[in-house]
Amino acid sequence: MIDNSILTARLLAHRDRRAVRVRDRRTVCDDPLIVFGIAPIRVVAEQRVQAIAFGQVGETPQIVVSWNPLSRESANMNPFAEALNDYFQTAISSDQLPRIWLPHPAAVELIDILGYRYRTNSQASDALKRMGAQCRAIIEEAAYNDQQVVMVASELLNRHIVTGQSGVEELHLGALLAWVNPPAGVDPREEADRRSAMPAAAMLDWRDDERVEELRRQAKEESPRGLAARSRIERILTNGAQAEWNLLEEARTAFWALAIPPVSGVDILRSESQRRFADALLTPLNPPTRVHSLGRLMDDYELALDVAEDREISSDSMSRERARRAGCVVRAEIEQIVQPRSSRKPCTIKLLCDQPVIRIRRGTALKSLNGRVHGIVTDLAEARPGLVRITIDVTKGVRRGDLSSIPRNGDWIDTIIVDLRFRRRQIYGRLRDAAPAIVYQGTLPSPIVRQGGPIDWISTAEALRRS
Amino acid sequence: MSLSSTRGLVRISINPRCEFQAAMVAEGVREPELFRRVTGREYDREYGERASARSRGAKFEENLCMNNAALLRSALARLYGYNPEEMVVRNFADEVPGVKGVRVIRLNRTRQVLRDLAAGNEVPHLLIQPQLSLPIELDRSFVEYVAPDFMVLDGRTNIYRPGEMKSFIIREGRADKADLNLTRRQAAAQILALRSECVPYDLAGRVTSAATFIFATPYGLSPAAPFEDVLEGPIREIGRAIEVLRAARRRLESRRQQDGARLEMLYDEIPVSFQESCLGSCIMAGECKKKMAASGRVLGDEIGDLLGEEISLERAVELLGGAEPENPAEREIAERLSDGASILGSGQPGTGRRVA
Repeated sequence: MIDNSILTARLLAHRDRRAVRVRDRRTVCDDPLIVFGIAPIRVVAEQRVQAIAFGQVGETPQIVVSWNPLSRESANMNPFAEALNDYFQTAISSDQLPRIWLPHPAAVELIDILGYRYRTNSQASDALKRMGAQCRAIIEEAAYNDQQVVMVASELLNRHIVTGQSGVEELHLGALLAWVNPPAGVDPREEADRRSAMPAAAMLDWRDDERVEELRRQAKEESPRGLAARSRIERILTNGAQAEWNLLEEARTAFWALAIPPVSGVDILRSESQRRFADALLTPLNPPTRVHSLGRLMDDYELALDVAEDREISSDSMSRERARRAGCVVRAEIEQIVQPRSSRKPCTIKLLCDQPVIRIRRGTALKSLNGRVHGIVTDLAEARPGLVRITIDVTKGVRRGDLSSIPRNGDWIDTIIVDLRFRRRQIYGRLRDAAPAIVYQGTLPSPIVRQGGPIDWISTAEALRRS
Repeated sequence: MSLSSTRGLVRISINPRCEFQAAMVAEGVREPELFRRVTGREYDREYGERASARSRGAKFEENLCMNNAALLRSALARLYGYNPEEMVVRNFADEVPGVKGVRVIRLNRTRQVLRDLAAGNEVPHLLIQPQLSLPIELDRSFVEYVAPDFMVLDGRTNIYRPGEMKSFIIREGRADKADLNLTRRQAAAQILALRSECVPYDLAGRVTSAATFIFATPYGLSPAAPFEDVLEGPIREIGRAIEVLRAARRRLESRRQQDGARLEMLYDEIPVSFQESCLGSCIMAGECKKKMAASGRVLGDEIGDLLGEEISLERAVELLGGAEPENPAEREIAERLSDGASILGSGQPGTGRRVA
């Protein structure tokens, strides 16, 4: 069911003909001084790059094109490979966060395919293989929810604003921007409709695409006509890549113009993401395929998800309000703090909460909004109709200063981060060493031969029920 | 490109509530032509598959089918336990070349193969471009022609299994969801057609709900490993689409009994069901959106479903501005809007944090 705030925001945007903000904090840190943009153009259906605009965002991009992207020749990609490598090397050596801006998910998919095609391609040059590995690292980092390296403009904007059009229409970056920056005196609905006629998905306009397809036949001729056709294709591709780059620049500017402050602790997210990405660049590994390595990766993703959620719920009041309505955040009044010895455990806090939806149970870990007091819910009971008493056994923050820091009426949130990766990695290590057949072999081990006669399962179940 | 056969059924299955779309399929219209007749102007936006995509698709199929389908045989042999060198292939596209007027001949030849199979005679392991028919009317007075890319004999059930070759790229064993969605529905129509063709030979019970798919690797046009997919869901949806199409034909006939009006004349009369999925798939989407301008549907399916036909978009905006609800449905919406406004930080309906 649609969230009430999104419903309201969409109607507001429709009424006022402007996009409406649905988050008041961003989970991404400020751009570093130099950010690298990539705006590719693909051959539709082929998913091959036929042009890329790239370079420092805010400057004129460098554009490489290939009039015959289906050929085995890939030297035209070398300037991109060099520029990407230079950018990453400079960022890492100067201990700066590398940041890549991409216009939309279609561009991300192309980067993924570049990585896939070139990383281990024995026919490719070393520079292209390195580019493949770097593209792979970009895609891997993009999968972490708390990452700070890869910014996909349309996703970032859609995360923070809602427009007066449908969700499907918002996926078109041009149409989305029409609601963020509508030209003066123009209805954004009409502007969005006009812009949506041009693709914003790393492809040429269909008329240009048809023209290029036609010209490609002529371009293969070794004649003045062939040369002219190549030059025309290159011009069309250059214009197409430039248009995508302009869209990227406009989207990035629009995002920063929202002036949304960052969540608290965003610097920690940045340094973690920077460290993780630098590791991936310096020691590129094959994507995990075995159970223990996949398990490790899933744990990393899960932790990143928890960290991002915690930062958002703790800092962004709109997200917290949504979580409160879902019952994962409780707004409660402190009824009593039971602490026999000051600043010592045991310490119990009794809260009174009148929220209609509470999604916590005995054993749920809660923390105060400022994060200084953590505890485990030990009891939930109805204090009187419509009022629930929540008893918390405080596990962290029993000092007087911590306890007095929490307001009498305040939010308690369930996004406590528990990093179990160290313990789990020990388990995965054992699993890898023991390599049990049931986990690592394609076929299951032979069935165990049962001793004795056939079992009457119904009488066994009956016996178990009685016991 | 006309809106008939499998393409039309797939479209109906995605939006079975749109009666006008079902009527378009029943008529087998060419969409740009219908658009011109309805609006009086040419459709000037992108329509249909791009030439580059078409040529890649054709090239992919050509590669798989050349040299007596050497690549296709080799890909399928692994899955079905055949020796690729011993597989017998019949390529109906070679036997009966052409596009127009070849369907009946290919259909008869496909039926002969099924007859042989039922009689226990030797049959080919692989049929390329076979032809099937799918009855829309129960008495077969109206059928849609359905042509799988290939059908492979599955030795486990001793019946053919429809298959599709698509040049979509598979990475790490995964295909794009949207690509797969349409292809699965297409294959579901083929399974239903094959079942129907098998009825006279008492083979229908052998036809399972699975189809075989061959997609491309990211490296050029080489095929990725084929896989089978069970299509119970899409089969149900295509079955439903057939019922919708049948009903649409009847309603269209009864409307025409009065004045024999052409479809474009009935655009304002036949109900449409505008959905988000119409954008980018139906040529009439823009016109239907204009038609539904007063409905919450223009803000997306969820808001359209929530407001329904009772509450117009204008009324919802009034409720947002604090208008007094007049019935329980409006009261519920007003409460939700009030709650939404408080989340957005204003605390009062009618305001909110705007971008600028």
